[in-house]
Amino acid sequence: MLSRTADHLFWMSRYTERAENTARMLDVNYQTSLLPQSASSAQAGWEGLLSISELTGTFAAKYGDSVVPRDVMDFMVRDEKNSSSIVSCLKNARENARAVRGTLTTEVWETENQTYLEVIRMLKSGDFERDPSQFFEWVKFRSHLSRGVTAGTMLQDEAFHFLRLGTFLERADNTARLVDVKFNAAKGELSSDGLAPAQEFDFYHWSSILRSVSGFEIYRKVYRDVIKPERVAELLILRADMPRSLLGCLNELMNNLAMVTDDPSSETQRRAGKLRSDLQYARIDEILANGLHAFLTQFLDRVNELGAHLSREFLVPTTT
Amino acid sequence: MSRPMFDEMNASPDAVREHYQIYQRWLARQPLASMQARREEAEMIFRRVGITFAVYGEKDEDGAGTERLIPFDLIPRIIPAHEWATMEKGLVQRVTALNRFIHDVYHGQEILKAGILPSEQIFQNAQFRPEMMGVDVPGNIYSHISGIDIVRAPDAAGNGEYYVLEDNLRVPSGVSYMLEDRKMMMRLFPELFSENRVAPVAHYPDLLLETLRASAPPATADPTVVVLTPGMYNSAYFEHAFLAQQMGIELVEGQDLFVKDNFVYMRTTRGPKRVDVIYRRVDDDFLDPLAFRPTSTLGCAGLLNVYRSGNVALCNAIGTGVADDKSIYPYVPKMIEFYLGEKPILKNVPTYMCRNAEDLKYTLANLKDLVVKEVHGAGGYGMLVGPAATEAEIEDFRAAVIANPAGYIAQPTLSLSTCPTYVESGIAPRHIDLRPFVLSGKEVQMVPGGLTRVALKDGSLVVNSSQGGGTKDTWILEATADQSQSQSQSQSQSQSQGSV
Amino acid sequence: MKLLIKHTTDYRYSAPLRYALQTLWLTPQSGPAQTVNYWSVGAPEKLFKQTDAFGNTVQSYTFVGTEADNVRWSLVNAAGEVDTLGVAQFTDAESLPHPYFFLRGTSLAEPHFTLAEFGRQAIAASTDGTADLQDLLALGALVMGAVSYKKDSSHVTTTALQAFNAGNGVCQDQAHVMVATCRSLGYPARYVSGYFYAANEPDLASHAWVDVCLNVATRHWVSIDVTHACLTDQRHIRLAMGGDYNACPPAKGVRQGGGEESLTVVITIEPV
Repeated sequence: MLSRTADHLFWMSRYTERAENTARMLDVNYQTSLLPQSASSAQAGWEGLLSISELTGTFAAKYGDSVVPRDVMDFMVRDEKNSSSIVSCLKNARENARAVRGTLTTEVWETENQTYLEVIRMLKSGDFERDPSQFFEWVKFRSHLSRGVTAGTMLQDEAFHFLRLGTFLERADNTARLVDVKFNAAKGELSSDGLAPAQEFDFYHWSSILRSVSGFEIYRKVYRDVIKPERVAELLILRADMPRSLLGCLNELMNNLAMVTDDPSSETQRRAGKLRSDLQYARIDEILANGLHAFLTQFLDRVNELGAHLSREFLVPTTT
Repeated sequence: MSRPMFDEMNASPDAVREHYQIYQRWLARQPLASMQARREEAEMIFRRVGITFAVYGEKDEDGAGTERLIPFDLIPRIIPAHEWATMEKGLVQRVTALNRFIHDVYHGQEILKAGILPSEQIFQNAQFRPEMMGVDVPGNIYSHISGIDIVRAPDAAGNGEYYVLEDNLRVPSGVSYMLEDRKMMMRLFPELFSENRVAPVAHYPDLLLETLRASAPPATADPTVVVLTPGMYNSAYFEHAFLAQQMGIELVEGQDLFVKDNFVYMRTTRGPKRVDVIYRRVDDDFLDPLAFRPTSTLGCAGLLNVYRSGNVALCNAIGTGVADDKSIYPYVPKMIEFYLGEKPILKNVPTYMCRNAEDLKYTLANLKDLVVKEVHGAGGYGMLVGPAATEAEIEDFRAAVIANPAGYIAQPTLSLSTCPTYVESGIAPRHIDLRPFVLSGKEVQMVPGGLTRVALKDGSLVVNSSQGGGTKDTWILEATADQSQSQSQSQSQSQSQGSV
Repeated sequence: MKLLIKHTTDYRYSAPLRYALQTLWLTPQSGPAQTVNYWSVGAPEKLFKQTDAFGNTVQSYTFVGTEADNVRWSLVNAAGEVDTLGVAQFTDAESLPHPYFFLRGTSLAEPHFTLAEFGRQAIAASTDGTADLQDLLALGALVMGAVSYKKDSSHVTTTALQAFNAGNGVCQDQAHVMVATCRSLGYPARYVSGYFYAANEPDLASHAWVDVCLNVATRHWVSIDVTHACLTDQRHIRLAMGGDYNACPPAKGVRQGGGEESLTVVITIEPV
């Protein structure tokens, strides 16, 4: 298919996924803020959110040094100048869809279009302020719908695979960031024994992370144990059967890449394969021993490079 | 002042023309409210699917260009089989002659040597492309897709006579509306298609693809055909995307193409793919920044040279504009005689060329009764409709014509035929025209009918969508000997038609 | 006069070149005014030859590469021997566009009433498709006087009217003003790109002059060098002709990548 078309499809699903993950994080933070907790851990939650999306600086430029929850919500939900805000992501998703309407089924286009028109309406009419949680649920739901309609109506050709590549690349990136920041925040509250934090911080902190990736019930099912940070890390990084784990995402990336290229020397495939096997054969105790932050930072770099190679090879080739 | 009007449906207030009778009986039974509901349904569907037309210069509150729906009227324009048969023959004849003319202009120029057309009109015509001199194109076909605008006007006795108003040989548009209008009619009123034997049009994309493939450079086994669009901000973008999808071929923009080693390639996810035929919806001037307008980003640098080498085909060819200019229009009947040795089947509208002293004199003396058009205008702009203009407008136009006589032609005001159309107050007659789309490949062919455009304003003769015109479904009734027999035949026919 | 010409165009790039398409008007042709004994053109990639709308020999090449190839330099060479015959008048071949075509304005040489008024000092407007040679030469001298030759005073996009208003230009501008003025008065005219040999005027090695139509009916033309206010002679070598500079520059192209481009042109002409 045309490289430019693939590029639009790729970004359409990346933006949709980004909007969903932003909504998830904001929702968890919002829910947690309603519970009793120390002021510092509440504050850490909101600051962490900005840090995950690397927006601390941009936020400070607009709002100054104090991180007020109300401002963070505004910034991350309705600020059109913030390219990572929910409204910006949904707008970009729709614009990309519009550019390649001919390649999408009617259902997929109408879903993207409707999502955008609705979010504008909801923000205008104050629905978000009235019930933030319901708003976030709606964003997540629209993202599920988008994926479902894609999988349910689109021919499984290259267009479909580039849509999936966008989803899983973005998901891998967002999940790695989330784990990195949330685990770092935990360290601030840790006792000096490393990953043996204060009891109360324990449950609410880790369970909120799990909920943000719809992993709370899954954890119980898989581990049948109290929530332990190393298990949370393992679930989100190394468990192939967990749809939002890093390994799960890499598997999907590999599957979809195989469908769009038969070039044995594809650099993108090579890098993805290498990254996938590193995850496949890793053990959580080794990762934790060498440093979770270092591991995740390196993972993020590699995922970003993967994205750049994908772009160069398929989406925006330099002429040839 | 009343002029005879030719109404497509009614011969007189109480006599419905034969080919409209079945339809009219049905229409009379429909309550106004139910038709109104169908109109709204049509509008909703068109809007959801996005069958819109971007209107130049207008912006909505978000600053985006406005996308307007082209108003679609539910009452079809019906033409009986025998009338279409003659028109079709006339269209084939006319388009064949036009293609011969264009070939002649870029080769031996026999028609100029025979003194039938003055040389200056060709060589000083901005659409004449010296780059095409001596270039051979496959099949000697230049205009693969020709949109010939036809109107009907009453003669002195009140009989409707068909006239060709204008030839569009560059990038004629509108066929997607023809196809979508038919789909909509079949969806809203399936019963009509069992009662009336309407010739199908849905095979146009097939015919078009066949025509495009036939124009490929001779040695290509399985030609790669693409549609070249200026992009989604172009007013006809919907049609470009629609046709590409219907034909199952790629829709590309200039940035997707590049030239390498004298061939054209498109950038795909599996590497560069050679392009053999380009159905280009981009004007000549914007096709190649190295050859034409240097600031154009809509084309592909180096395309012209590849084209002249015969390594890529362009539909329509470069330089067809030399034949669809309003200043060349008056000569088309002579072209038919010169190249085909035949008398023209379709009439031209009598035309006064202001570049001629006699014609200029007549025009200036009769401005209030004539339609005066800019030779290089388009889309209904730059036109004076004498009978409908104010004194001031007429005087302004007089000055313009005197300043540049060669830039204008004049024609008597034709009383375009009318067709009943839904308006605010119910159903009323509105002026219409017809644009059949003639395809020239291995042979000259077309789907029956074309796009009927209707001027929605009372008394207005301007049908262009960019100025508020609408469209109607066009029905060519298939010829039938026995009426009752055909009823049962068409019952079973309608099953397959309906599912198209 | 037998002349040996060498023409080198050297492109340097500050970053790797990824794509380049170049069209070259660098091949002189034999005709009434000159005989080309031998000529060759060299380029970084395979050249594809064609004859353009004005009968010029045109060659194109495309370069496709990646960042990794790190191509930072392109060289185009043209060289050969031409015997100039000093003939300034000739008849166009049948295959060339009719003289009326050269009345059309082009972006760099549009007719304008200011130029018409200016030109009437030397020549009256055309009435019957013929032109008086002496009047045309007088017009050439008039243009030379009004648009004085000044190196580096304009750029490739300067139009005839702009150069006229500025009062100076290079040979390209003088040629454009002459062409536009002729068109303004109804005389078909066109731009000629070529080489000029004069031991003491090396700057004019790359030169431009004009063809004006003496007789539309017989397609008879004359070449006038505006910079020197004379008919062309044995010092002139024709490369190409067209509506204006844009139609036949020595090289025209597009590129992607390459960063900043710096261009060096070296032309040497020697009598043999």
